[in-house]
Amino acid sequence: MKVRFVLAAALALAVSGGPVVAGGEDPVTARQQAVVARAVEDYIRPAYHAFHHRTETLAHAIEHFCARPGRIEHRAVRDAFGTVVTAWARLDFLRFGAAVTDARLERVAFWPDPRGVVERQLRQLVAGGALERLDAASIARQSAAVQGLPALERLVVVLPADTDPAGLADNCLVAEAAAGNVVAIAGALDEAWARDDVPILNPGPGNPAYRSWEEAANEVLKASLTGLEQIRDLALRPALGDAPDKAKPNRFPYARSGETVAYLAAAIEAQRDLIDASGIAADLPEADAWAKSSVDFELRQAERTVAALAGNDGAAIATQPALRGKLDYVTIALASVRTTMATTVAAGLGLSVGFNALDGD
Amino acid sequence: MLSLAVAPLACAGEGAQYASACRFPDGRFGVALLDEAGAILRTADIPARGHCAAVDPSGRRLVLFARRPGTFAIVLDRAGAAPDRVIEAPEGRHFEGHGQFSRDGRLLYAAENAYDEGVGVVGVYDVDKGFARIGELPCHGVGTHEILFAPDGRTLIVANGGILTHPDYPRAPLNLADMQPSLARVDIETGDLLESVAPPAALTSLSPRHLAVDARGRAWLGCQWEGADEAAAPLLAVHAPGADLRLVALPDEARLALRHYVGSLAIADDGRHLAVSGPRGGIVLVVDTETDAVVDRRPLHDGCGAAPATGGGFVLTSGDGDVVVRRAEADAGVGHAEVAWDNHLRRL
Repeated sequence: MKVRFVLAAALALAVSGGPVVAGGEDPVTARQQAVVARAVEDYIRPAYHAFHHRTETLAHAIEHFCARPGRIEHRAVRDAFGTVVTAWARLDFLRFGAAVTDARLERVAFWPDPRGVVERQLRQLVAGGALERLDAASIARQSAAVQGLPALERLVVVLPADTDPAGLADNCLVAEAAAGNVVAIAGALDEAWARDDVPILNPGPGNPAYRSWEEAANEVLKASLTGLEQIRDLALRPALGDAPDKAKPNRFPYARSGETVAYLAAAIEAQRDLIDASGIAADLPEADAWAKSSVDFELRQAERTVAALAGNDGAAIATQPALRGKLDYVTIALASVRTTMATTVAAGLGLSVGFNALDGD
Repeated sequence: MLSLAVAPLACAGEGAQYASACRFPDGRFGVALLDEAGAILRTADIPARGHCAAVDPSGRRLVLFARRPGTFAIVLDRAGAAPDRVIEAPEGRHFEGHGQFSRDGRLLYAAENAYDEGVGVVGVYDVDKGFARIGELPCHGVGTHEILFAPDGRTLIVANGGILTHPDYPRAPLNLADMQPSLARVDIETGDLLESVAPPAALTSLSPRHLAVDARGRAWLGCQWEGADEAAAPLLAVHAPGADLRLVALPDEARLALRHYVGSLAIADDGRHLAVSGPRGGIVLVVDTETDAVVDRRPLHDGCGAAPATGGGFVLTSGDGDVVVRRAEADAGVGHAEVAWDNHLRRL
């Protein structure tokens, strides 16, 4: 009832032409505004900013390596790639705002890729020749599959032992263009989110994305739910399969480069950080206050469980029963957190997750 | 005394019945038959979340399809006389949640995803042979969602959403940077593509998902926008055979209220008024298909199901369990059931 009243009040203001303000007089709207503002200020903006800087480091490392393909230079590429992957794990579940403009999300990381599109498109691109003419701008017009991190992982991060210099030259031409493209996209995301007029911070009747603080807060809640689901449904389950003999370890994110565990740990930590930074689970009514500590505890446990897998490759994690068991625990913990977020935490924010509204069909 | 006791049952038996997938309060999924007042007349459990029902021309039998990427469809007899049956999608295919009976009721057409090939197909099932799958038609597109017969009964109108998915990543879109949406008209005898239209290049992120056919035989498309949040993307389009796809510009306020997603469409018995549900925005619009004007707006939290009401207007359902009869810009009845109604409502 309260939510509908708030919305009605906001619409009334909209009709009268006044600004939709988070008035001190309405605590629900004020809290929604605070959650959105903190999510943007303390989580989203810093995350995009860090990602941007790390992509620049990666692009430099690739440039150096391609100019002088030595072992130390390659090590720098691998390290820089790892830092970019963990920075991206903090962002790849934010399916709104500048990330969905020009399909930036898919162009940074074409994933999941069950049909092997990255591999196929890269082969076609290299076979087509004229790679000297590729640059950051022209590769941006190619298939999303050749533009981003999964392509870089195959081109210059993981190299076969017997890499021949000519083959590497082709890889480098594509990789330098793709790395430049990722920097450009990361820069555009960083810049778009740094602006004062970012749509989610300016809800109102003229805003095509968010007409009210309720809708803006709902986006933050949805991001959290999407992030929790994505780790379970996209990063873990397809690789684990139903049983060890059904496992497909190469479906783990960044399995080739061995960054899977780092990615998973960063992705889970990201969920906890977003919840903390936004305060979405804070200030709940006393009867619901357990939700914050419960969510915090379960995410920390899940994070620790994943971090303890470090040093194992994807195949071992997916097939050895003891290691699989740890990830089974993680999926259960994530599902539990998701349920708490979708019910108790959502209600505390004056939101309800619709049966038909969350996921278009 | 006696007549009072039996009257509701008699009414329930004679009035229009509707079918919808639902979720029960304990979390189980099911399919329910209901009347316009929202009273549940019959329920059946199903193994996982359902989506939309196909109703045979006699109105006596329905098939409820699993929500994508489900692989089951449940055959249900209205009177409960015939045993219920489960249809399974073949290896390499899953249901997309929608299907249609042929005009003579002998064949069932099901929208399916041939996921390894990355294309949409229509599975053809023979009712008299125990719903055996006897063939397959191409959809001439990817990510097929709703299918509907044109008034000629031999052209299948196909909403190709343009989004590739794979059941290993159940609901994740795999090609948002390179969508290929279209509306195809397919000959059901030959599978030939009679006509295909698509949104203009600037709107390739527009995914056609839901369909309705008006009295003039035009196909209306309800879409989902997968592009930039800020884009003023149209969510409604109409196609007459032989013509270009026409995008319908709803007033900004109505378009924004839909939040980039149309959950279902229904055409009223007058063949003219179109219900456009927006579960994300919590609103159902009624559009006059002769003028494109929005003639009614009914806020309905999580409202998605829509079907024609007997006597004009629409029956609307919501994830909160509401059942609303909406007629002439007013509520003609508001009922409630203790279930979450799923996306689509069909009249038997």
